[in-house]
Amino acid sequence: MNIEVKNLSKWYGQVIGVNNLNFNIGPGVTGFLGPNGAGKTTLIRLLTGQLKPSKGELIIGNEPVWNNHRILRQIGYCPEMDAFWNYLTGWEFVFSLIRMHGFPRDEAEERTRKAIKTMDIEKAQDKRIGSYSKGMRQRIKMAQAIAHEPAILFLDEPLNGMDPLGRRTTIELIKDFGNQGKIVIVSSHVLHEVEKMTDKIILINHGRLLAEGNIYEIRRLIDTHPLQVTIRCDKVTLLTAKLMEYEDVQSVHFDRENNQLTVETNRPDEFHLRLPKIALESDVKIYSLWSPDENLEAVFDYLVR
Amino acid sequence: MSVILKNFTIKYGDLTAVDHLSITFPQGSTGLLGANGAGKSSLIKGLLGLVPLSSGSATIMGRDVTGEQKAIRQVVGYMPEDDCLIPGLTGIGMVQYAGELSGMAKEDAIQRAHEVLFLVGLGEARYRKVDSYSSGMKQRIKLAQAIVHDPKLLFLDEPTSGMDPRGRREMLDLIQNISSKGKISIILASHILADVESTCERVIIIHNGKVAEEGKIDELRGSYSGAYTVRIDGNRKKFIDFLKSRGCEIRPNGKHLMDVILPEKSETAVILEAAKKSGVQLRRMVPSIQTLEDVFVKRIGVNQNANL
Amino acid sequence: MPIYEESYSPWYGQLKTRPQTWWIIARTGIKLLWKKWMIVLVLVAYIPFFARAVQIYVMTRFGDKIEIAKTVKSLQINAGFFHEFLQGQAFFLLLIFIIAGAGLIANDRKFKALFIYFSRPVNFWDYIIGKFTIVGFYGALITLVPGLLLFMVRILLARDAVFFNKYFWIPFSITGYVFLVLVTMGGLILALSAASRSATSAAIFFFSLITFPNILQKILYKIHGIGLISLNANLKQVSSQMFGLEHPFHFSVWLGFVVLVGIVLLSIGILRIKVRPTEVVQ
Repeated sequence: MNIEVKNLSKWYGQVIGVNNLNFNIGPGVTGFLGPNGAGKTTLIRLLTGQLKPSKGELIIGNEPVWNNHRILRQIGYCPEMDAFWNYLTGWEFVFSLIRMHGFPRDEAEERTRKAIKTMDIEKAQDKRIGSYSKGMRQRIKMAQAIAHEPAILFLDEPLNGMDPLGRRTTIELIKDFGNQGKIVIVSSHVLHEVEKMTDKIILINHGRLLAEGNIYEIRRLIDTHPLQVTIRCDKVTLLTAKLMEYEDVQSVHFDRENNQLTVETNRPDEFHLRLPKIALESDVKIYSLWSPDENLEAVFDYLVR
Repeated sequence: MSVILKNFTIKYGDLTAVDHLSITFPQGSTGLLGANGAGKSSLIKGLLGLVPLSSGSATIMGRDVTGEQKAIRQVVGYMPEDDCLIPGLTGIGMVQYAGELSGMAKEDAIQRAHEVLFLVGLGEARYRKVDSYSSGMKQRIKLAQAIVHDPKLLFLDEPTSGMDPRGRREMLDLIQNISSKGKISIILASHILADVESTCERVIIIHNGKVAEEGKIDELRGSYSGAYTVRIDGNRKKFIDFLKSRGCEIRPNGKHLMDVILPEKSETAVILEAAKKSGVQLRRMVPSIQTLEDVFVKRIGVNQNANL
Repeated sequence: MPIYEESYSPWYGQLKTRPQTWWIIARTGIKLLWKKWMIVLVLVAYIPFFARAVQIYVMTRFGDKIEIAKTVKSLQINAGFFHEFLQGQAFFLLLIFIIAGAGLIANDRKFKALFIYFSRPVNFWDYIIGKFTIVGFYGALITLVPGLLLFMVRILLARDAVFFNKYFWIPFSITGYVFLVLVTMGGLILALSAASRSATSAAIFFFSLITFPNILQKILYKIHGIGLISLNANLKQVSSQMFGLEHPFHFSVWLGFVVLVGIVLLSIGILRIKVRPTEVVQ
């Protein structure tokens, strides 16, 4: 099953929400990124069937999404908003929502139990949601999203309010879902956490698609910013001189205090291939080596103006 | 020049929320970590003089918390997690109001409010009503009202909450700025450990009202363990075989990375050789140190979900 | 010449040791409300004042020359005159309480402004008294001020001291009556504002609590003591005593006073529950 978006646009009166989007999403975890106001919320609402497209097509598994209960039943949504019935207990909340999907009583109970156990909120299931901490509310929202074992999950800031342990276990859980072949879409501003879950991203700004695909490949395509490589070693000046002999090295930043240098290369593959040779030949001890801008944070920074 | 707690205890009837905490928050930033319900909010309430101490004491720049409670709140700044606004006022109006309520004279409050609004990045927006602010702007004005009166102790509760990546980075830079330039003790309570790592020198981990761990982040993370986290591009098998033949142990680390544990008396040169001999690109090689998250998980334990 | 950076700089000023936070809250709130529609409302509320001032002028200067003046009792400038004027402002007062008061605390709760107040040297009473002063200011502006002004007009127009000797106590009664109204109704609107996060529902609630018992009382007037359920009736009863006038209702003035005190205490109770400084940190 795939999500296919073709020329998708949505506007509210004169205000544009999303503008002519074209992309596909397959099984696995995909990160949804974009600054505030970029159109992510509109896009998620379109994908979860809450809004009707103004123009273009939105297809999941060969069927259009709008008003399509067959498809909507296969979608689980964990929204960012905290809109709850505070007087229900955690159990009641998940149970009543899953009953609305049409499951018979026994099965609904079993599924509720399972979802609550997966999200590790058994201890609080009989307490009223009004008394929950933020992290607990997040867990019960997730439980509700996964209880009917949907093939597609939309998670909007799923880690919001969770403590570090909860974050770690939820990230593992999300990766698991991806590995099970579900389509999991995670929208988050905390980029290093998105990086832990997946390599695939969709980046939106001003309602338009900026980038789609694997983080490293996208980075490769950003040729306005040659790759930075930082090297900490014992003979900084010597290594710098040796590296500069090659044409692909555009610039060098020298940091005597920290015994490190940072180069920019527009041919990273060749650079990384030759680096060990040069270091060994010149008898330079490399203590550490990394690319400060080959991560999601840098990709976001370079692409979003 | 700091905040000193001695046997600081807060009880609500039978429930002990904060249990004989004896810690010092020096000048600069200290991260405050802990599961939800571990006692963080009671700690803040106690330091703000909003709840009485059951026993023990706390001094902020030499002033006793249990003494004049109102006076303590003049030297403390609080940036809560939830959005808060004074409806109807403009940005500058609200920050000025906050300053006056803390005891600043009107002219001082106006002047300092403008200064602080520039610092947090609210330019022309300060003349608009705060009701119309976006979530990023609301976060900034929350910080502004917390620092307008130049407090000696500043509490930041999830300061980057709701901000997009650029806003998060600006906020963290701001906190760095205040931490290094001001004469303030900053307590940063956040669940996003990477944020804490990038802005704080020290952390305190609280669990069940007690201190579970405390110290400089670098020290807690421990020293280099003889292992390197490596990323390569190319013939993985050849690379690994070469390393193994030299006595290294290899452990996979997620999808792209691997941890290479060097035998004793070996250096990174062996990794460079392996790369050269197997013709792979050496893209990354850094000493494996624990992250703050590792420290936290180890200390609190994966199954300690009694306090969600 | 050093270069000044735009980074954080400490502030070397002095903080006041005991800032009068209630006054800061009050004056900010008063200024915030001083908008076009409020100014119009206040001006309109002064129309009766001008009418009454003219009445005083006519009665004082020409009272003994005009036949009607001598016979129609209600035209006389006496204690009843001032009492009636104040009662006549009731409609405007209701509007002022609703407009100025309904959102005072409700909006603070809705926008979580209480964080900002109580993390500062502001305690429950500072906050409440500050808020009350806002609503009290506008209330007094259209009752106390014109009332006292009318008394002054009469005195200034007098040719002898007869009026003054007979009615010198009226300013005190005016002040007492206004104080009573402000504290009871003002306290009530504040309590309702604190009980809700929506200014509109507080306003509706307040309006209902004032009007429905009043209507009920008028319908069931034959039942002895029915007036006690209506805030209006209680105020009328107690204030009539303050002005030395005939009691419009049959229940005891003291009983009415007790009811009024009860309402004030109830309002304070509700405020205590809904406005809690310690709940500010979660």
